Amino acid sequence: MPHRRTVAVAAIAAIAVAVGASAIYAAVMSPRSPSAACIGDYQHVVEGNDALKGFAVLVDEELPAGAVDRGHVPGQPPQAYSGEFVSGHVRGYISPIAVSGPDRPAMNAAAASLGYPIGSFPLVPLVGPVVQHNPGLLELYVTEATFKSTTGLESWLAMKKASFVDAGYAVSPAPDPRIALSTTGVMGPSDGLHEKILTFDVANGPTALELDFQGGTDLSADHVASVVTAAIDRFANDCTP
Amino acid sequence: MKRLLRLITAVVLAAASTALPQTSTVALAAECQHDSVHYYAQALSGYSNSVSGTGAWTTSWSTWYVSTSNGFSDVAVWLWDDSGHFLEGGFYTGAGVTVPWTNSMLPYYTLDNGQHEHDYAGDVLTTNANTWMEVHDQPSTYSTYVKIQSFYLYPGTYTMLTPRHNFSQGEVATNTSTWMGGSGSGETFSGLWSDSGGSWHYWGFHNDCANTPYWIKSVSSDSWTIGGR
Repeated sequence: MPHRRTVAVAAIAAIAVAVGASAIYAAVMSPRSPSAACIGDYQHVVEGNDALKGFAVLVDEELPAGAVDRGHVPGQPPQAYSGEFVSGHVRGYISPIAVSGPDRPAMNAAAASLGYPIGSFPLVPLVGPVVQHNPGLLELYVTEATFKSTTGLESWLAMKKASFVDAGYAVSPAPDPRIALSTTGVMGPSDGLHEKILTFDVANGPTALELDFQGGTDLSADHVASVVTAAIDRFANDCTP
Repeated sequence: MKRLLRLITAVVLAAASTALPQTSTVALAAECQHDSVHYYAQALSGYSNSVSGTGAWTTSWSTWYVSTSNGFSDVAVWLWDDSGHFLEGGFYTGAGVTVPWTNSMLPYYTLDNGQHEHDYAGDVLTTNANTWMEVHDQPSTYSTYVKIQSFYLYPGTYTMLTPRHNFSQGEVATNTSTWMGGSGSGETFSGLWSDSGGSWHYWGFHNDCANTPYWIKSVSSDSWTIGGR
């Protein structure tokens, strides 16, 4: 289904550009209510971007909780984002330099020293010399979460913002006005060994799309702007509430 | 001869009776409150004005499985009051909030019943290791901290009122195929509570519940095992 949708969108966009007939685009991409047909496609919105050339898919899984909701002690009602959750998905990408670059043996040794089996991918989030030696993008996670209503989505965004701020991430100016929440921070001490993280949350009706870019010290909003803009464009066009 | 038969009968009945409780304990664990995506195995102990912390000894996971139909798996200890303050500390694998996803085991804490979550990206836990988990809020000093293995996590000042409850749970977000407690053999905990002076005491009791297919089995007044998938 995702591939069919991608092909269809690409074909329609090409026609629209070729004949300048925006009416065609509007007719096919007519507004519709959020439905199951919209769910599960958004995690692919970054694919095909040159910035991710050579990146491997590290994780691709359904996310029943949408947002992690660690908090249901006896007698307490669920948070709105949990009670209203419909469906979600997370898809993660990792740089080839982290998978097979010169720092991989050291990463394997560090993982083995803690008792972890050595698999196709290193332990993530990446920590150590691989971060120090590679100042650009190393990991990207695309999370999509759909709720029954905007109440659930707003609750999810509030939880996200509170958690990011609590972790020391700074709310930053959004590079695109369609972004509801933009933060930047370091995933641990600012020692050059822990990844920098940029988070972007976009709302579209009751569906949220979160892009989490992780990498070295040079990672910036400018660095990933083309990926963010293209992803938001596809997210906005693909399923308009 | 009759005495011998009575003795044999007694031995057989005794053997049968010792075999039964383990099964019946698992089957009779109450159902935890849960929504459509979260499954729990919970042990709830007591509360008092002198409680300042909850701790547990356990073993970090040696194997685990987060499937294609899941979100995460975690285990944690909790401290909460009756005025809406909740402090949770534990470790997890899979999806997180401030760390989008991990394939290792990372420590984390939450405040306010999950509203603030901080996952610690660089603090990768050792596998299959004797592990101490602790959440602590010392009213006299306003010292709030979480300790998981050798890692201290500091949520900052978080004022909790009294009385405070001692609680622990395993949690997964899934409907199938994610291990709770690391593997099918289960994960055993020994629960403790800290008094206002900072001294630790083993729990005197715990009330348990679990959501099928996950399970909890009482081992003693301060110990229990969780598992399943």
